[in-house]
Formats: sequence, structure tokens, C-alpha cells
Amino acid sequence: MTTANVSHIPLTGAPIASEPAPAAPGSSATFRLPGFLRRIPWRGLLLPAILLGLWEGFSHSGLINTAILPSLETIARTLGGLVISGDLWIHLGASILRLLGGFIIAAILGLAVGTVCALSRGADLVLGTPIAAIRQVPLFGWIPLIAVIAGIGEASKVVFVVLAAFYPIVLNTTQGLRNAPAELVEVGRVFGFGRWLLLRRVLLPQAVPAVLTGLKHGLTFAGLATVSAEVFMTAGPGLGNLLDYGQANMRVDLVLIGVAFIGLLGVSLTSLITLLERRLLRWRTPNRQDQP
Amino acid sequence: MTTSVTLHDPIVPHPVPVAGAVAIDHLRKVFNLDGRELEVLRDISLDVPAGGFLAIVGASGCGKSTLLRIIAGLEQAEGGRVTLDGAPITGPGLDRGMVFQDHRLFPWLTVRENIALAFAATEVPRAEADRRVAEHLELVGLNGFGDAYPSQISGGMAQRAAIARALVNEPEVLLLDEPLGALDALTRVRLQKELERIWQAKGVTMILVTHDIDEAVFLADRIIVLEPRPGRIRRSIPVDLPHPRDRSLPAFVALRDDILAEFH
Repeated sequence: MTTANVSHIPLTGAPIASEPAPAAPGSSATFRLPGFLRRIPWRGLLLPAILLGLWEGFSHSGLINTAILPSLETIARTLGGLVISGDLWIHLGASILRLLGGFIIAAILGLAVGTVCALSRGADLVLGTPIAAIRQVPLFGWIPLIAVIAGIGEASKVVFVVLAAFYPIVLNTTQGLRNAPAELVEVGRVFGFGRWLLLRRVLLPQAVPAVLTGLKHGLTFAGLATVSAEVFMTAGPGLGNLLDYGQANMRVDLVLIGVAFIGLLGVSLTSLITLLERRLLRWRTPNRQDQP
Repeated sequence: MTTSVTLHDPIVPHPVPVAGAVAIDHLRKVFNLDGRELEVLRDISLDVPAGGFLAIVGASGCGKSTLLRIIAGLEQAEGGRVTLDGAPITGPGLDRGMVFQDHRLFPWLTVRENIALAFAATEVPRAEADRRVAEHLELVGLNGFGDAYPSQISGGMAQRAAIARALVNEPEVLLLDEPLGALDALTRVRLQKELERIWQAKGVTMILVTHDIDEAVFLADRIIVLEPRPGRIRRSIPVDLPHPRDRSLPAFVALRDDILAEFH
């Protein structure tokens, strides 16, 4: 009978750091970067660095119209101006609020509707059918209708973001709950679980991976919809408006800055969800012990 | 030195079983396959006394798992009745624990949380539940593994956890549906000894479905041989061997060979 101590189980699944190779005799202290710098994927930055170098070279060569490809200094100067005047933060803040507001509303609606549709046949017929039908309309097909009904202000943009983020969340929630393994549901029955306990202790927790996938896609769609709404419904600030203004005034530097911040925003939000996923799905770490 | 005595010894050896008598009376089970009726169990009658150990053996498709699932209340019979201490079984209940062939631990819960799951639908206070979970972790030899996730432990350990989960509510009957069937031979032999010890320590009625005749002779005090299509009782054999059992004893070998001969 094994009664080994549990402390050696690597619960986080983090790979055990390999021993550093002993320094060769004669070579004095080898230079090592501090930890946070070592984590930066330097080799991944190589290609972008080369491209930036080429860009800078071309924009100074006179071969290319700088109105189409402004030099890096021009962009940096514009960016500095946007930061100092506070315009950048106004645009960025407006986009983040819109994106998150729409996403949160979509998440609440999607989780609620998805759960109800998965659990009740009747609700699925009443809600699921129109939802599936409406989904056939391409997302951008809604913009004229929303704009006509609610104008091109804040409400319309948020409605569009909600619409975009809602579908991946509701579909993944419904599927995740429907695909609950019958074996685990049976364990719940053996322990006398009623409907509520089955939902809370079996159906919902087993659907967490699917729901997180839905939320991740929902967030991506919310980001896409935020920028699109800002470009198509141009009232008020937002990164999309920056793009639109830049395009209308032949200010490629503004367009590029807008694109860069949209990308940064997307990356940061996706990594937030990835963090949440890692926290919630710790149990997936496969680290088998060989004791019987 | 203080001589404090714990108020609760984990296991009282050989308690006299007062409850857990299962009676099956003319049981009939029919499956409906695309409109065609398929008789799975025909006229099954048997009694398991409180604290007894019944093993049900038979070829695959003989309905032995179905019989166990009817006792668990997971399936309804078409005829006859099953009673536990005289009361008819109509559905699942906490007076019966069940261990499946696959451990069926919830992958998102730790071993400890999995075992504590058995209390979710009960009024057992938290402190009492925690105490019993710890006691049963010890009973199945999983001390120190309470905080591991199922993906981090071996199949044998997972099955131990499943046994603890089924016992932690102190059911009167433990239903075992080929619980060791998916384990390697060495682990299986070890867990058979564990089951023997747990049965003796707890005094709980055990009903084991298995296709391993050696396992049935090692554990049970009565063995039922089921015949397939439709499932019927072919033989009911008492096993009068003392525990702990020695597989090399001539009486053990003779009994095993006798039952094995039913399958040739």
C-alpha cells in the first residue's frame, strides 16, 4: 500500500526547470539576462524588426510617397501628440467601454438563453428557432436597420456589439450543456440529485470549457464589431473613428496608430480570457501517478 | 502525556449488520429495440441477507449489469419487484452506493471534493461531512491524495476514490458493477484484498457484478451464475471459505474450476 506524500505532485503542471549546464572551466561568469527579459521571445521579434528597418529605409529613400507610407518618426510624432492632447485615451477609452459593455451584456444574455435552451425543449423551440434564423443574416446586414431605428449614437453601437458577441456565447453554452456525459449525470442521480443540484454540480461545471470557448470567440467578435460600428456609425470617439478620420483626411499615420492600438487591445483582452481559462481549467493538467 | 482518546474510531471491526437485506422476486426486464421486444432478464428471484456478499457472474450480455442497475434504481423492471429491507425500490437512493467500471470521478473536482459530492443532497453538516471524507480517504488508502485531481492519479487510485465516494454516505448496500474490470492484473488483485477488508470492516451488504470468476470466489459468500438471452439464474453457489481467502487452497481451486466449467 502506497501512502506517499502528495507534495511531489506538480499540481500546476509547470515543467520542472532543467539544471543549468555547469560553466566550462576557464570561462568566467557567463552573462545572463534577468528573468523578465528572458521570457521575451527575442527570436519572434526578429522578423518585425527587419520589416520596420526596411520600412524606415524606404520611407527615406524617396522611392515611396510618404503620404502613403509615412516614416516611423512621423508616426511617433503623431502618437506623441495624441498622447499629450489626451485624444488617444479618449478614443481608446470609448472603444474599451463599448467593447466590454457590449460583451458583458452579450455574455449575460448568451449564458442565460443558452442554459434555458439546453434544459428545456419548449424554450429551445420558442427561442432557438428564431435565434438560428436570425443568425443567417450576415452581421453587417444589421447595421443599416440598427442605424435607421436607433441612429448612429452610442446605443446603436452597443446593440451591434451585443449582437456580434451573443452568438458564439449562446451556441457554445447550449452545446456544452447538451453534451454533458450521461455517465456523470448518472452519478448525480445515484446521489439523489434533483434538477437544481444536477445543473449546479454536474451540467454547469462540465460545460465550463465550452462556455469559455464561447466567451473567447464572443470577445473576438465584440472587438471586431466595436471597430466596425465605429467606422460605420461615426458619431462620437473611438479607435474606429480614428481610422475613419485618418482615411477621410489621407492621414495614414493616424490609421496605422489606430490599427496598432486595436491590435494591442485585442491581444490584451484575449490574454485575460486565457488567464481565466488557465485558472478555471487547472484540473485538465495530466500528471498521472503510477501507484495503483 | 495526555491520554486523549478520539471520539470516533474510524472503523468498528465486524459490526453486526442490521439493515441492507435485498430481496428480488420474479424480476423481469425487457428492452425495446426499434419496436422489437428483447427479454433481458427472466424470472430472477434471489435474496441477499444484510451484510452478505453476492457475486453475479455470467458471459457478456447476460443482463448482470442491468440487474445491478435495477437494484440501484437506475432502471425500471417490467415485472416482479426488488425490495431493500422490505421496502420496494422505485428509484435511486442514498441507502445504496454504486461503483461503476469507469471510475466516473468528476474531472474538475479534487479527490476530496469528489468524495464530498455524495453529501450534496443530504443534510449532513459540513464538519461531519469533512470528518467522514477524511475517514474514507484513509479507509481506501488515499491519505495525502485528497487534493489531487483525477487526471493526476492512476486508474487504481481513481477506483479507490470511487469506492470511497460510494461508501461515505454509509449506505446499506454497495453495488459494484465490474469495478476492477478496467484495471491491470496486479492492481486488481490488490484492490480485491482491499474490498475484502472494507466489506469485513463495514459490514455493508455488497453485490458485485464481475466476469472474473476468481474474483467472485475470492470475495463472495454466494455466487449467482447467469445464463444469457434471456438472463436467467443457472446456478446459485454458496462459498463457505473463511476470510481472508487463500487462492491456492484446494477448496478454492475446486470451486473456481467448478464454476468455470459452466462456461465451456
